[in-house]
Amino acid sequence: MIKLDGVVKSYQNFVAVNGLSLHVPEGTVFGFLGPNGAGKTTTIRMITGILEQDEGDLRIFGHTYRKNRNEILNRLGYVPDRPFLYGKLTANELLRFLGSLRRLPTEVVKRRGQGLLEQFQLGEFGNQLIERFSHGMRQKLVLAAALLHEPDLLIVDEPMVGLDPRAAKQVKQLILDFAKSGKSVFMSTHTLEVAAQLCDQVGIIHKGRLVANESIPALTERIEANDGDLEAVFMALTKDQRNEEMREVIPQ
Amino acid sequence: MIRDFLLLGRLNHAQVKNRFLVNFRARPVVFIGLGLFGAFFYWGYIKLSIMLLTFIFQQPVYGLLLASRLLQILLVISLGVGLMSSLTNAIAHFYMSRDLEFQFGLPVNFNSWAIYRFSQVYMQSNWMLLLFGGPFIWIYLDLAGAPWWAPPFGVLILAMLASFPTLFSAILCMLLVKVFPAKRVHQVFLVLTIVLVAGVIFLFRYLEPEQFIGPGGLDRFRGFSDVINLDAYQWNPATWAANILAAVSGRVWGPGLEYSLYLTGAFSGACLLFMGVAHRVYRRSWDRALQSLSGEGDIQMRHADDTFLSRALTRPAWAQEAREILLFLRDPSQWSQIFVLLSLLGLYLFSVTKLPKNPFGGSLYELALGNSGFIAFISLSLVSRFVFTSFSNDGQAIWLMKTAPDGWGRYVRGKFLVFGIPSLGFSLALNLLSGVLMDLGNWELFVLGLGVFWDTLFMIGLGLGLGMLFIDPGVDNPLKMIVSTGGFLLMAAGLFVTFIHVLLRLSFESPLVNELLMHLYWPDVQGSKIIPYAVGLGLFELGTVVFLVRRGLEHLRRGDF
Repeated sequence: MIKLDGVVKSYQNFVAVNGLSLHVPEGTVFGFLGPNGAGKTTTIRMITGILEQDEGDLRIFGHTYRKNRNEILNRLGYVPDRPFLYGKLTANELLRFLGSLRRLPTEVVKRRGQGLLEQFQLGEFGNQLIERFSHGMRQKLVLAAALLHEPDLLIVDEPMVGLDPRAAKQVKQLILDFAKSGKSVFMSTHTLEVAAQLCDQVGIIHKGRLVANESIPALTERIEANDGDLEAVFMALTKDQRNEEMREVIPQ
Repeated sequence: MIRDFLLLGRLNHAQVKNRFLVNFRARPVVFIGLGLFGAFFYWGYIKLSIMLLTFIFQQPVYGLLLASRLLQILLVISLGVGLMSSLTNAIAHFYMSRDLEFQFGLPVNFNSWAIYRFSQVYMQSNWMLLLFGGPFIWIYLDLAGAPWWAPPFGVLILAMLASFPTLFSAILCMLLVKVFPAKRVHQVFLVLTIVLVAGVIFLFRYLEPEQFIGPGGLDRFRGFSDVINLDAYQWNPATWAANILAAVSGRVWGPGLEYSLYLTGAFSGACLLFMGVAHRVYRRSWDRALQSLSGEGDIQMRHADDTFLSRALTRPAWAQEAREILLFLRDPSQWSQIFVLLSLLGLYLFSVTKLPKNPFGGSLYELALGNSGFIAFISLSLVSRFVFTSFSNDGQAIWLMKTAPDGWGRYVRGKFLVFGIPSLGFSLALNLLSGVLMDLGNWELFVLGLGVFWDTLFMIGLGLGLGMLFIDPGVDNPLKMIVSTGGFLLMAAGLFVTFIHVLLRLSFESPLVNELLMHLYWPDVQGSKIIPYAVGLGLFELGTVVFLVRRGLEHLRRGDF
């Protein structure tokens, strides 16, 4: 479903993603972990077609963005880490607009849009300008927009940021339901517990390189070897050599 | 207090410096080219100012008086322009600023913060006035034979005068914060703009500047300036400043000292009032300024669901255009600008009817060609404000476009139709209506329209191409985009090409102009000799636009911004 082979992306002199190779099979919930600045968001932006890689091969559903951009995007839903939207449109108008960009019939957009807004407790705010929405409401609206065209693949960047516990639980359930229907989810998160709860497979990225790519059973084995501490595994994998050297120099 | 002010100043300085360095490192050649163009333009302005003031000072008997009157009128006008600019910047800094919360959380003295904020508004509102007005006053005092210290003193007087509209705007904004949350500020601004524009139109028509064009214009200006009743403006700080400068230039120290006391006293009073309002009002209610930025507040804005535009969002072919129009119409900050534009359109056309029919001995058609150059400048401002900035205006929400299975071409078409076509219509309407009012024939109108159509279309193409190439979703203020590298590049290229077009048309139409320009290494373009130049230039411009738009589309597709 998602296949990256030696993908490189740089910003001027800074290499954000360095030769990343990754394969996410169909029907998987893939957790993408890594410390801040590891290259998670850049990778997600390449997978969603927002950024183009400098080197390497990136295929979604077997297609490349250069040749089959629309085919990919018609089957993909994306929820970014920060829900920037057109504040001067209403929630209904935003869904209509996005629906028409995906060539969905008006009736379908109306029916599904209303259903999704109800599902996320936004039904009564459909005619309100988005600029009046709180962060959590915007996050839910982005989720609704991502699901409007019933995608086969859902890409979610930090899904729990800014959500209250009730909304967070709802999003977790949504991801599980989505996966149960045989579809795939690619999800980046800082929260190790969320990854352990939701994912079938976990990839850990550090300094633009994949340092681990394991199924949850394999990871569980490793956790058990580390006294049952997922955090210890994560810290060991993403250990920064420079920090270690600094610790030796600077007295604790 | 001083330490805190310097600290805040350093924070601002670091931001400005970093932005400059980022832009410079990204495109050093463009940056240096623009710098050279700007320096050349500024040098030309200084030379023209010296020529104009020297000419006026050389007039027998009334040279100094005429120059002083001109200075007074310019100072009054600059006070009005400064007020418009200061209001916009004061709203941006005291109302619609996203860093207010961060800055109020800093452990700095409030007085330092208030003065720092004021200095930001002051610099952003008045840098152009100081840059162009300062040398003008320096030259005036130098030519008048004033003492050696007078020119820098004159610039200081100008700087003090420029602070009045800024202080007024800052005080007004700080008072309004208590009454209106940020949501309403644009409506208040619209009312203020209507009042100001009405005032400007009244003053402009009272002045009737067309009477000063052509032979005898200078005499009419002298007559006009003679009837200005100075007593009627005695409480205007611009009059005090002009009187100080006139007194210094004539070495009449008594009135100079008197008006200096007026100006300094009023400045001190305004500063005290500013600090008082900052402490008593703004410090307690600044958080109301954030009410439209944070997404929280008590204003409910429901929108009808079945309007024509709302329904058009569901039509794939027109969804982009419907979205652009909806966003534009619902942004109240656009209304005041549209109002100003329409007022200027009316004022311009009315003034055309008052123009002397044969001011410089040329034909009316030649006058219309020259007029098209002026209008091109207005059109370029429109393209710069609406077409060029339209890409960055989408802000961070641009990710919606990047992840939608809809070609970038359709997105750019939306910008062209919603912002480009009205700019083209505005430019054509202004030129053709001016032409009709000048009694041009049908053929002349057709040729004029064709030329203007090409000029404006080229500008729109430049605006679209550069808008895509220099897109910056992080800049949410269009005015900041206009003064970015891309904005300057658009203005420089647009002005240069317009200048060449007008000269080409005028020298083709008038053997006299052609002859004059040939002394300045301009080619002979009379008759059919114009064809290679016109075709060559046209092809070059078309190629430039195609190149820029293609590069821009590639830039959008790669998403590196």
